[in-house]
Amino acid sequence: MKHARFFSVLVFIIAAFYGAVGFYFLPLASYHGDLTRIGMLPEPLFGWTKPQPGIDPALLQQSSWQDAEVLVIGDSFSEPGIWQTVLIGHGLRVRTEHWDHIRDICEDFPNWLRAQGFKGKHVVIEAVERDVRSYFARALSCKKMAIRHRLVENQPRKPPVTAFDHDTVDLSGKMSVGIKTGINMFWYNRLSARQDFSIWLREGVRVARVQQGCDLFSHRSCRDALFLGEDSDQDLGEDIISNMEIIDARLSGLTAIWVIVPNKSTAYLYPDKQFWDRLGQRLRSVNLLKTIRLAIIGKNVDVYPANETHLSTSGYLLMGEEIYRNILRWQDGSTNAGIR
Amino acid sequence: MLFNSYGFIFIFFPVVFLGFFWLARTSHAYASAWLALASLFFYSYWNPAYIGLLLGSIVFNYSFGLWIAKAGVRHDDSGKKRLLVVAIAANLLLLGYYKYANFFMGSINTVAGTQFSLGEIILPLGISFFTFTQIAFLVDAYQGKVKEYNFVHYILFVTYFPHLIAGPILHHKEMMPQFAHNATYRIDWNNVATGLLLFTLGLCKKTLLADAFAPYASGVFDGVQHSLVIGILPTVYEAWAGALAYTMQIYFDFSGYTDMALGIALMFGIRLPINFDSPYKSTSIIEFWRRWHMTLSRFLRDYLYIPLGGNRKGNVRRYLNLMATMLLGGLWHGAGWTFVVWGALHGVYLTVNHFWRELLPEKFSRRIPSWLANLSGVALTFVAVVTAWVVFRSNDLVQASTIIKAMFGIAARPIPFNDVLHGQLLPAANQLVHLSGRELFKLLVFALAWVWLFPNSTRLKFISGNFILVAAQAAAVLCFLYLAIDQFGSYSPFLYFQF
Repeated sequence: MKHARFFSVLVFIIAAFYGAVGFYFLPLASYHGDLTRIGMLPEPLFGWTKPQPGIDPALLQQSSWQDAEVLVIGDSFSEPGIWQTVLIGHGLRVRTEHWDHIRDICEDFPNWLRAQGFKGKHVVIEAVERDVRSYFARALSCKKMAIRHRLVENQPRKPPVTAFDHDTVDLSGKMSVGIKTGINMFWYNRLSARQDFSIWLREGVRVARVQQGCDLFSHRSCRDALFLGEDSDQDLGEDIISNMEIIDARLSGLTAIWVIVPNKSTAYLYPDKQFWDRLGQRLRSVNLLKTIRLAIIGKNVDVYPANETHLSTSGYLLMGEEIYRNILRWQDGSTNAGIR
Repeated sequence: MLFNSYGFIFIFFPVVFLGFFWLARTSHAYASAWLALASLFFYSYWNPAYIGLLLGSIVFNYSFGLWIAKAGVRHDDSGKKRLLVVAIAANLLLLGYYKYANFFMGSINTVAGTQFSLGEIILPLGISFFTFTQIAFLVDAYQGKVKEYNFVHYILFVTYFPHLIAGPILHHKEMMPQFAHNATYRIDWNNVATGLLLFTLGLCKKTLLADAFAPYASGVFDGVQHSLVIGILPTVYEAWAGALAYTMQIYFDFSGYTDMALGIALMFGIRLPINFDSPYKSTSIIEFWRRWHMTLSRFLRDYLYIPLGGNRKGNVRRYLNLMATMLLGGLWHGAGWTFVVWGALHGVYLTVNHFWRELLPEKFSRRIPSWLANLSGVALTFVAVVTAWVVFRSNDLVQASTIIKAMFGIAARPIPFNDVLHGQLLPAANQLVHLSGRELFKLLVFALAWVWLFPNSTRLKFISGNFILVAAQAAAVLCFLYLAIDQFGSYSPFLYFQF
């Protein structure tokens, strides 16, 4: 009996201690942004606070293959359909397909696309800078389209949130994650208090001091912002543009518009990359780095929120305006040769 | 409130546990009242609106039980019978309204082309469990088997929070005496230690195994449902992956819940009946039903199969009784044709099993080596049970038949062998969630080894001997508790809560 008592009391006491500590930190285990989630960094410090513009849910509707005038092939920057609302607001009918479904733009893409019932002319091909190499290199050897069918067709999308109540206590996270986030918060507070603080790498996320950060971000620790650790300061090479040209040549009868979204690190920390300028000289493309840099220099707050790798709603709307301007620019379907 | 939630583990359970044994030092009546109140709070945490229904059902059945017993004392047989019929009818009406009314209305509408509607009826949590528990009490009161009528103990017998939502289905004669027993109100550290071990094991079964299988089962079943729309069939591998994933999910989910219920109850000094005895080790369907959801099987046997005549009226009647019992057993799980067909399928299995036993001369069966007989028995039973689970899990019979046909290669999408080798077994499921056939394979190997080779969880006992052994057990429990608790963070109710 005394062994059983020792065992039970020991387990109860340690579990109760863990529960008490876990509950204390549990509110820190809920995140809004992907960078705070990956890095297990506290949302109260890095979550954006300035309200974002609202989006009319009616503009988030997906067109069918038969109705669409513009096809967007993109990644998580296009999947929520936010930047496309600018196009839809201007009367265009847009269908968005994720790279996960399309997989590759293969040699038979135009024929396959027409077989789906697509009658439009414009295809916007979007990818984020860090994935460009893998997406387009893979497509080169692809002969025949083999898409994964969307199982849930045309699900209504939810409009993005315009504001967060940072005082709401959310206890639905994991205790261990809350405790780790609490420890990370402790270390961050200690490190960032130093005058010479510049960078701190945590769980694949870089916490970096940004010049005039409080003019550019709305979060509480606005002097610093979060960036994906794997983002490189190296510019993209010529080989990628060559690959994109090969794919572009496959799209006969279609007007492809290439959109490369700069990494957040590129936009704020390494803005001197030349890839977008070089791409613009060889293909119909959108110079998003220039657009975003202009917004940042113009002190637009939270173009990329501190806690996200993605753009904010206001950032997406800038992106949408720029893409719409380029669609109008190539409305007449001028050929690749024409822009060389 | 879920057992697998922070609120239960860190607040509700410690408060109720400490409160119970603290009050028990003053008065056993206070302690049992505290436990009854805690159980009602546990139930109302889900939806306070239904606490009235539960209390109403308790008061109604207790009163009728009392009147039936009094009629028995007066030797008023016809009055006693009338009271029993009224009480059972009222219980079945209540269950019928909440659980089956819309199903029957829908079926009538389908057949007659009508548009009758009763609106949305929310199924009160655990209604099948507390209704069946009390019907058994009424029948036993009628048969003069009820010895104790303490109201607080009766409330506890029905609402005792470890079993209230998903069983085991209790019998008053195994519960009421325990609440009346003095030893129950004294803390027994051996019970607490074994209860802790059992609770931890159940929690691990639920969070580390059942919840790990859930995305595979949902991925395949939902994938097939959507694929049907665009005319894509599942492959043989996808179909088996979904079927086996669900087979494991439902076992670890339900037996995990039961282990937790038994463990919690034991910490309070109450022994609940065993509900699972390694059912996938069964060498026949007859044995399977002696090992799976044993308290439901017991209830159906005692209160349905035997009153229908059991095997006392010849073989044909016996098979009809079996079919009727299993059909109603299927319907008990839910209002839907898939549950009816699942019950019918098991009815047929049982009938074939009994028929086979009668057909096969004992002389012949003795010639087969027992290891071969057992092995083939386990394999055949397992395949039959897995096939039936497909029907049980499916949204409709079309989905069920699509998966079953694919499982047995009758109508399946071909898959390149290269994809099989590279573990890409679940492309259809992948369209919904990222699932790896390789990961599922690893999980299945572990789970199958568990269900076929490990002893049943009820064999688990705290081993006292020396402090090193005790510390090792404490370290293991704490480690597994940490792993299990670290899976919390999303709402994951137990599958049997819906029944």
